[in-house]
Amino acid sequence: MQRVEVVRGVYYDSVSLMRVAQELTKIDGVIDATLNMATEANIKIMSAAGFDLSGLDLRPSDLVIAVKANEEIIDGIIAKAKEYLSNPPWKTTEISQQYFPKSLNGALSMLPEANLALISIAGQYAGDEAMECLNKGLHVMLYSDNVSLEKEIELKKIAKERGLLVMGPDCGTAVVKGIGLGFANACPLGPVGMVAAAGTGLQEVHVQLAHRGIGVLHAIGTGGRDVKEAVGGITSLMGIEALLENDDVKVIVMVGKPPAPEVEKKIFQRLVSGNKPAVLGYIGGELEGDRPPIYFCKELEETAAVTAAVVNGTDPDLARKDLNLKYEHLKELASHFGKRKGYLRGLYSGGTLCYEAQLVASKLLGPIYSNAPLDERYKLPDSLKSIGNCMVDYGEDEFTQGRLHPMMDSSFRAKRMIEEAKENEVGVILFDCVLGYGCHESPAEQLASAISQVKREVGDRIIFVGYVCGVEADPQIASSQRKILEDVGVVLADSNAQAARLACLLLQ
Amino acid sequence: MAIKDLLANGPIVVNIGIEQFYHDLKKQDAKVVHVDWRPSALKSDLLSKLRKLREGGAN
Amino acid sequence: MVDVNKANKEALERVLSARPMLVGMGKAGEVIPEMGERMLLHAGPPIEWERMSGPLKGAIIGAMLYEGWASTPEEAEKIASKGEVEFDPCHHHHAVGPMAGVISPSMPVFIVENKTFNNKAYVTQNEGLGKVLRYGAYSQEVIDRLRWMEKILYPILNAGIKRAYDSDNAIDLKNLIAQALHMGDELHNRNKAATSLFLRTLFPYLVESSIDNKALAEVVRFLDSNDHFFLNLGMAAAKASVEPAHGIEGSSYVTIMARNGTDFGIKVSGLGDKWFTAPAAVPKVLLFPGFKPEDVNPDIGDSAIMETLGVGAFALAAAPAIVQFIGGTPQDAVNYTLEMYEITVSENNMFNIPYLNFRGTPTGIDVLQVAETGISPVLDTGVAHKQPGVGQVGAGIVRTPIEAFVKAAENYVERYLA
Repeated sequence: MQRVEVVRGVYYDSVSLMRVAQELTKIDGVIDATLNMATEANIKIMSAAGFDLSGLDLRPSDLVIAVKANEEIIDGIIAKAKEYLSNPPWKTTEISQQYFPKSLNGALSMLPEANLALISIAGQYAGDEAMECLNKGLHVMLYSDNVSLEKEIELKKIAKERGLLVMGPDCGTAVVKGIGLGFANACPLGPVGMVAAAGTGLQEVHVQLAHRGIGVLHAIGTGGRDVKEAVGGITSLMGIEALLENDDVKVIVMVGKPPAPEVEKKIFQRLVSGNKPAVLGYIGGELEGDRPPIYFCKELEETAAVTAAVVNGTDPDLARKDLNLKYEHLKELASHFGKRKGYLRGLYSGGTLCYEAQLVASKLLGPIYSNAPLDERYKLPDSLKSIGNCMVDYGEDEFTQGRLHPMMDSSFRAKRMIEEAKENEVGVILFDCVLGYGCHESPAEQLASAISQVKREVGDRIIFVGYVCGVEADPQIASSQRKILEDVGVVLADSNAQAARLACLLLQ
Repeated sequence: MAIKDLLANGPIVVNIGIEQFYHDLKKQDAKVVHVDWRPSALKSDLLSKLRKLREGGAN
Repeated sequence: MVDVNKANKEALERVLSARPMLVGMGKAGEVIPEMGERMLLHAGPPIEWERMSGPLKGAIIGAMLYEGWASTPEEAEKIASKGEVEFDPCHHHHAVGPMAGVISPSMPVFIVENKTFNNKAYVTQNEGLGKVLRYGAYSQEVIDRLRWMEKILYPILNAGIKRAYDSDNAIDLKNLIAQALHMGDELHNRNKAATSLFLRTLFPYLVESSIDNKALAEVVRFLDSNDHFFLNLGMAAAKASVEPAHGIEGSSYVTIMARNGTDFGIKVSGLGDKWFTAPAAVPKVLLFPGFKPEDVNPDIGDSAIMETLGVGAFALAAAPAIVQFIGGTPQDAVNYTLEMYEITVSENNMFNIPYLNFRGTPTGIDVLQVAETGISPVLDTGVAHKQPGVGQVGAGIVRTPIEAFVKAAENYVERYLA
């Protein structure tokens, strides 16, 4: 049964509410639980999730607690929700022992030397808050999505006038002087400076560079729209400028989907005149043929390999050849595990990783269906129902509204694994497991429990191929995350590109 | 502060939103203050007017 | 364009430069300006009889019995509902009243003068705890105590205060407040230290002016048993200090916050005489035994003048001993104070908090900052029973309704930025 309770005139941030909901759904007998401030958008989301809110007089300052559970426990669950709100189970005493200011001015009075604001509040408020931060002379990293294009342009133009950086909106990852902001891996410092329009693309190159012993000093995120014609690459170009000027940065790496032609041209010209080695990792780009000291790459691991060669002063082409050799070896690996029948299903938390996997797979298997497809013709009508060979990006807005980002909580994706495995036509399930600051404390455990359930139910009919994007120094410790997945029979690859290839090769 | 200085000094952060990011910055020994943010009680247009007024007055 | 920061700085400087001194006493009807013969003053913004809450109605009934305008509660209600008594907010007469805040013409009042601006403020003598008029009780014991306060307490205190004043030693209330903050009071829900300091300071003058030692002993015992006696004096000091900050063009400084048990209302320095109101909030309360949460009346009293001055809940960090009232730890008390810095113009130059390394208390609520940040001021408060005649049910903390501040901020924009 369903129970809805309204608490008037309060405010809780969405992440706290989602965490409470997450805790509630862990309780036996709870089918679903959601807590939201009653904004118009949230009411729609809750209704879409099957909660009946009709006949309620709701205002944005009301908190809605909605629970589906067995009748005997449902009152207790509502009470539990309130208890968690006032006394969150995840809060340690250390945290409650301090004061968190509630306004920007309050924060600045406590830390007057602040130079950057990391903003991750709801998109409808994020733009104005970012503007206020710029007014206070702060650089801005705007993690929030759902900020309008007009607002993005306005922010970036004003920031440019004042010599301030606006990373984002929808910028999940950045590194400044080795400090990771948002989702970021604990990689070593080094001579590389990055500018990235793709969050997990940045993380993958960062991690792959670390695997090759190369460190990164700065990685400036721009948000995916920065390189579109409307924004004109304002942040990308400012980032490049700063990295060109910085003597500690020896090689510049660009990562993202291919920019709009105009923007691409500007970036290229600036890099040519900047006269610093640069590697352009445009995922799925068309540009061919290196023009040293500028190199063109199409995949993330390739970008890292070529960058490592440039840093080390070795031959980038040789690095590419080595990589291709490795990819060839995956065929042997595939036959070692035995080929499977049916379709490939990819379940991703990282948008760029999902995009790259589709690029790889479409060359080997033909068209790939997705909620974020390479080609709009193959867009899934319902993101929750797979078709054919298919890859789903759980980081898309449709999944993150009212829910934690899949890199912070894989439980939704883990449930989908179990659903996919029930279909006889599925042979391979491919997934990523992204580590680092900002991410869940143990995503592998969340995924492994689903995978072992699948194994119990269908045995070896389905093979799981995974990639752990992370390093040893990450809070989750990459090797122990890998072990958790290997222990439930997951075949792990060394990069996202390799995982996608291996998954395809495992299909007949 | 110019971008140059941001890169030279490293980030000193005001974290507005997800509290996890604050704790992760602390883990990296970064200087950070977390804002327990709530929306303004004012409509957006009124808010921007008032903010402009305050800035003007501060000059 | 109007310079809000400059205007607020001017308001702040007026408040900080105040010198509220206890200069005398008198009968309300004789000393309070424009106090009518059949007029009762009450706490909060204006309100008509029909909309009054239980405790305010109870206090009105009690005051009418005390004045002899009615001989039974029923008769008092009848007279009040027919409009034969005039009601007016204390704040319209330079006065303040705790809880129901009812002042009738025969009641003795303290007179506090702000020597910097030569303005005066008025307040009654505090009755103590339990069944008292200010919490809406009107039984015979309540009326008897009021009579005792008029016949015994008033003449003795009045003589002592006069003697101190005449010997050029008028009691400096601001000084007492500053000292009490270092002794664990926040001057709203805890006045133990301030009451002791007051008695200690006044004591020699009481003795010198006494003609009846038995009565004097009665008075001293009464003060000793009433930890809240200083609250009223503190309120008058606050009123006298903040009032000169009202009426500064362009200032968004809040000069009044007050509640009548039905509505919460504020006035803002640069927004004229207009009250900005919203329904009063229900306090978060530590209940006395035997009472239930549904007994609690919405917030009531002019005592929010303490927070308006920059003490009370704003100085909770100075009063760790009363954290049980707010149902938390000493850290929670500190956090309330820290939060209030985010909506105030500045920090006090005289009132400070040892625990915060003697940082000045958050002073001067800026209505625009409140509206902008969504942080509304917190108040410490006593809590009255909903029903007339019952009295106090507990004490606690209350978050003022943001809507009143939003209305004022909107009015500010209309007035100065249109």
